Amino acid sequence: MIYIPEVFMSIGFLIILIISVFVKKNQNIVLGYLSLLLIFLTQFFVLKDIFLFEEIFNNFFVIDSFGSFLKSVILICAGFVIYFYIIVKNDSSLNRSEFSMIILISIIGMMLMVSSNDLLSLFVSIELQSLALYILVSFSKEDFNSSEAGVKYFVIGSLSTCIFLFGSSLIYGLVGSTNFSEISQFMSDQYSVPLLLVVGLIFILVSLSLKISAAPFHMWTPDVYQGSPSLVTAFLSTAPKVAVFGVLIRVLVYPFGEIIVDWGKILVILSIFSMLIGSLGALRQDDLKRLMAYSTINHIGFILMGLVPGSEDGITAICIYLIFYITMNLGVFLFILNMKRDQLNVTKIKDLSGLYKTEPLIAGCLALLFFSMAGIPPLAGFISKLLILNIVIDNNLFFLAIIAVITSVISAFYYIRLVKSMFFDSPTEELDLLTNSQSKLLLSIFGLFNLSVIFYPQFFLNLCASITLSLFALR
Amino acid sequence: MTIYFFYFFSFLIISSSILVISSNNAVHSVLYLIFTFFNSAILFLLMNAEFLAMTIVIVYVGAIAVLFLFVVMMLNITESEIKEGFLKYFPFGLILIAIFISELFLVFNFQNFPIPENVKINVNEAMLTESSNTKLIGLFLYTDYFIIFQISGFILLLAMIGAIVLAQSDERKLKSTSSINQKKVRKKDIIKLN
Repeated sequence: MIYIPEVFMSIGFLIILIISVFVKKNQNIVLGYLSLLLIFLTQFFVLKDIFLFEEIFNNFFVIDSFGSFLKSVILICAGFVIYFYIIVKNDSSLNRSEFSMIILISIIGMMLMVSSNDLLSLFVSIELQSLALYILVSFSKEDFNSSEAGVKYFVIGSLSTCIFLFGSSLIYGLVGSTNFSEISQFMSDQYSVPLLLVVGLIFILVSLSLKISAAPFHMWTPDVYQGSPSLVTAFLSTAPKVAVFGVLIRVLVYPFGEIIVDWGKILVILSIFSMLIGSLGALRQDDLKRLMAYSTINHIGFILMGLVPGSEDGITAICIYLIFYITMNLGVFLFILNMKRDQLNVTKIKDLSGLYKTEPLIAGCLALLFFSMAGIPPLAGFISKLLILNIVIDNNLFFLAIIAVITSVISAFYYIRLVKSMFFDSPTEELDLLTNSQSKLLLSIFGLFNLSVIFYPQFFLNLCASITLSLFALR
Repeated sequence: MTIYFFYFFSFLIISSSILVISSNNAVHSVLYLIFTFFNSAILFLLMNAEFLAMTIVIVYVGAIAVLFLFVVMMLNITESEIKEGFLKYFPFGLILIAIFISELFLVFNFQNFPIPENVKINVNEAMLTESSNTKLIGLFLYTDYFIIFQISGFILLLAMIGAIVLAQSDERKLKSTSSINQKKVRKKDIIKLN
């Protein structure tokens, strides 16, 4: 009996889809709660089998602790986003029953992505996930920017799909199978690795970096982040990134682990570009969502750096970085969702000015989150950056470490500029206060989490180390 | 013999796809696109994959290209709008083409391309035992590859939901009469005889 969380989730999704037909038009919150319940139950199934290893569905998918862990992180992200959807007063365009449905189906795609063990199943699940994201980005039809962002994202996404297919066709032509274990077998049998395989891998790598918006494939990110509804941006910057990183780690470490010399260099270039563009591009932004897009690119560069050695410690550090990154991002976007003036959403940086005088608690939590993103010592962001830098220096990649430190100093500048504007600038016009106490509570929890991680970093280290063990030990 | 046919039809594909992007009339472009699809279907026929060839003709020519044709006829784009920015992007495109071609040249020229031995589905072997191509595809699609088939079904479901989300609007903007009101109309209310 195959009882995997994806199957449970799909069946639950279909049931909720049928229920949604009978729900009255202005009661979409009911569907939000149902989706939240489904995510909780699926989380239970994921955690139940977290130490199981099994190849399922004719070797198309694999259940292991690494995949299960990432699935659980993705579910947490999606759960938070749906919870935001419930507690925050949304635009009228988001008040449709389909919103939580599409989020659910994209999670199914992501969960399949992180557990796929074959290029074919990987392709199909990436399509499932990204098709859902295209729809989410262009969700608010009245907003011109949202439609524009949707078209941009769709064109870039289709390009990435084409490149992925081309790369996998080259690999299939050479190996004769799309299965990861057979590709790995082929690699170990070969005396010298054929060039064609490397070219195929480069194509797949380019396609995946388009998805995680690693520079120089980042062009779409600021526009899409700014144009799409804030709730969607919160989702876009967390869950898909985790899923694609899972895929990237699995593809690079397992079937192509033998040619680490080839992909290591590419990752170095990608991470240097991402860190530079992420930190320099953000300096002149005046929109908070655009700034978050560049900050994402910067973080992506940092995370990619941990994958360069391809070692177990590096992947542990990446897992920890991803956990802290999503808490910081979700916290900031929860605030952006609540940034309203006269019932209208505002996202400019100068709207933040003087927040401390009206809302000291919120301003404090937000400052904590920004400091954490910048990597100021006692906070969570510092620990994750320290771990990654540690790995990089251990592997004698000093130039990479130097660039990383310099760019994170530059990026600290714009985070601190935000904090300065909150605490010391005189307010121009007051924002509407945070009307719901739940958002306040949640934001303080995110802030406190980032502050208190310094007391128990060992917990995350042990957890992620035992998770990544499965990626290396069982094969 | 087959190899000459292959080269002939590949040449037709490449030249017609160049015509797709270079022809002045948008409708002509779509017609060239249809010609490209037909030729690629013939390439599949040359490799004894008659089911795939028919599928390409039915899906691409029958559905997608005809849809293209409708869209192009409705949009009414002028020639200058299409050609706009062509010179601006041309050098960049040239660089991309150069990179791709040199890459492929490097890969295929300096090593002969081995035919893999341990293919999951060995086409030639399968052709010997079961003569029908269509039957084989059905067999593999619903047994070994059923999970891929299922996920594709989910993608189609999502496409349906997405189309509804993007196209349906809540308020009725069209000035149409509702069918219920139309049915309520009685003859004596409307037509008056003096």
